Amino acid sequence: MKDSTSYFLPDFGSLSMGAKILVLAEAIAVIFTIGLNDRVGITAGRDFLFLSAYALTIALVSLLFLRIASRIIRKRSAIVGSLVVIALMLIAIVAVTEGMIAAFYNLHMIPSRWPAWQMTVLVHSLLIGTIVMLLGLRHLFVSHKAQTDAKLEQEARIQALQSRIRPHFLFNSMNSIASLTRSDPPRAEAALQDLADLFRVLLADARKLVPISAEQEISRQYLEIEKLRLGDRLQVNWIVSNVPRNALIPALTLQPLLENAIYHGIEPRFGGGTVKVELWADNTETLNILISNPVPEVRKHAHGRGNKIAMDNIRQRLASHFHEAATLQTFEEGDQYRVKIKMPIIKNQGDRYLAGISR
Amino acid sequence: MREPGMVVEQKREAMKVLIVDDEKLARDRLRELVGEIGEHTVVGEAMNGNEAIEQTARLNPDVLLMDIRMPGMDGLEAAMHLMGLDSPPGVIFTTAYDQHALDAFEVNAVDYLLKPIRKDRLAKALSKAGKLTLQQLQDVNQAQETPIVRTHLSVHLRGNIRLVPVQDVLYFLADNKYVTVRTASEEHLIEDSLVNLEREFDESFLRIHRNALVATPYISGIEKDGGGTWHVALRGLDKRLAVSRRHAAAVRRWARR
Repeated sequence: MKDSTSYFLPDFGSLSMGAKILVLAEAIAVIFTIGLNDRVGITAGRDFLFLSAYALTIALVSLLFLRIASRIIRKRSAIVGSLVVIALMLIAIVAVTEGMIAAFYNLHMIPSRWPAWQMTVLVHSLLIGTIVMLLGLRHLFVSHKAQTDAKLEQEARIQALQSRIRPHFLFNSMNSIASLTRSDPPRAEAALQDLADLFRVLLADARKLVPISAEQEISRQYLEIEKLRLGDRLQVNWIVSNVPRNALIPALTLQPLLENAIYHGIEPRFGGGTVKVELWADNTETLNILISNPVPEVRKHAHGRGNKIAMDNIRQRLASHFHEAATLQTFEEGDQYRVKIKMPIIKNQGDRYLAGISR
Repeated sequence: MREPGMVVEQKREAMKVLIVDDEKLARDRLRELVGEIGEHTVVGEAMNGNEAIEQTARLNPDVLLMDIRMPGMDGLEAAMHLMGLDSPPGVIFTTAYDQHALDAFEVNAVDYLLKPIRKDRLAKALSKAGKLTLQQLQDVNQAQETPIVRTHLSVHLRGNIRLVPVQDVLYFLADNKYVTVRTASEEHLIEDSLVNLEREFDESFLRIHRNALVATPYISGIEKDGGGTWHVALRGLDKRLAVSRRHAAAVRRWARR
């Protein structure tokens, strides 16, 4: 089977496809009846019956061909498949037209086996058939594309949401809170409040810029919840120096990186470990964020997809605000895994235009 | 949760339950819920797979409530080792979220509970906790996006499990039905095939002979003897292991890297 997102040809053997083709053939018969006749009358009726019989026969024969060739068509690429479909259709037109003329002659309805108008009818039918077929394939292509686009967009949205929060974290936290409601209700209450604040930020628009102090606050609340679960296994060391509190960073830059550090670096370790968060300004222009976590003693899995999605997501958002002026790097140093972000310091949304960052 | 289907639920006898989870609050909650259900007794708690195996040997529980994701040895590996016991306990896995893994659990009819765990589901799971087989667990593992690689090998001695850390293994040597596992100080027999071991541990082991896999971190040198045969020297081992002619090229390619 071909890549299903680009493959637009349907199963021509299916009933609904057959019905559609018959309706299309009948529509063509109606159009031509109207074109050939000025008024409703016996002639129009005769034309209609004849054209319907002709078009429907072609449609039925085509369907028969398509049904037989259906499996072969679906094994080929979309382009080859389409050509096969058109070819089968044209063969059907020739066969039905010739068959009809032969039948008329045998029934003595026409005097000659090779009437003068034969070529005209054949060429017209083939032309009309080709045009209708191309339009039909185009329709199939467009409707398939609309469907897959909608699906891809939905998947992208889900991925974006999941990159903001690991369901693993959410459900484990809820389990911890469920446990605390019995043993320590005040702590359960505090944890629920932290979780609510965290979710408000997670569900908000992640494209906007927020003061770094707000991002630090939400990260602290997140870490409180993680400490409930992990206890002494999680130590966090904040080293913050000379960072202007109102420096703006994309919302949810720090928190997902901490979540990664804990998921990949702390949770898999028997004794846990320390996540180090360093924030500093190089001068008045550049903000640095460095997050370090120990690598696990035993690596059971490679760094999973979740990690990559979160990193890509942050990178994209940094790029959308700062273009090349911001960088995100990951590297291993000894037993430490580090993520380093550099970005320009701006204090209100308009500044990036002044700083010449935005195009 | 696996649905009970049309099976009539039968009353089980009181069971001994071992709780395995690296998070204290999760263990507390399970202990309370089992207490509230009433019929069963929690006989112990463990914080990871290694402890789960030790505690199982000591306490002989009927069923384990075991988290899948834990530091060190995780739940799935621990369960695989436990299946080598003469009468292995039942295992009900607990997990917060892991869609890929859960599909595999479902398909292979391995019981699991989702966190936050509900009392009624826990009661139902305990009342019908069935026995598992190693095959079921291996199938679950193979169906995962990234199957786990065992951190330990289990050696079964008179119904007991002895765990040998894979990182201590110098080499595997196959003869007819068994594979000899050699560490710096010990030798054990395990029932496995060299082909399986090679596939599972291909990151740290190198095939040097039809019947031998050596741990690459321990290789200290390769040398040729007078007869033209290559040999591998391993740290912590006096004897040399012969490289077959068929594998000589691959071994030398590895050495050049």
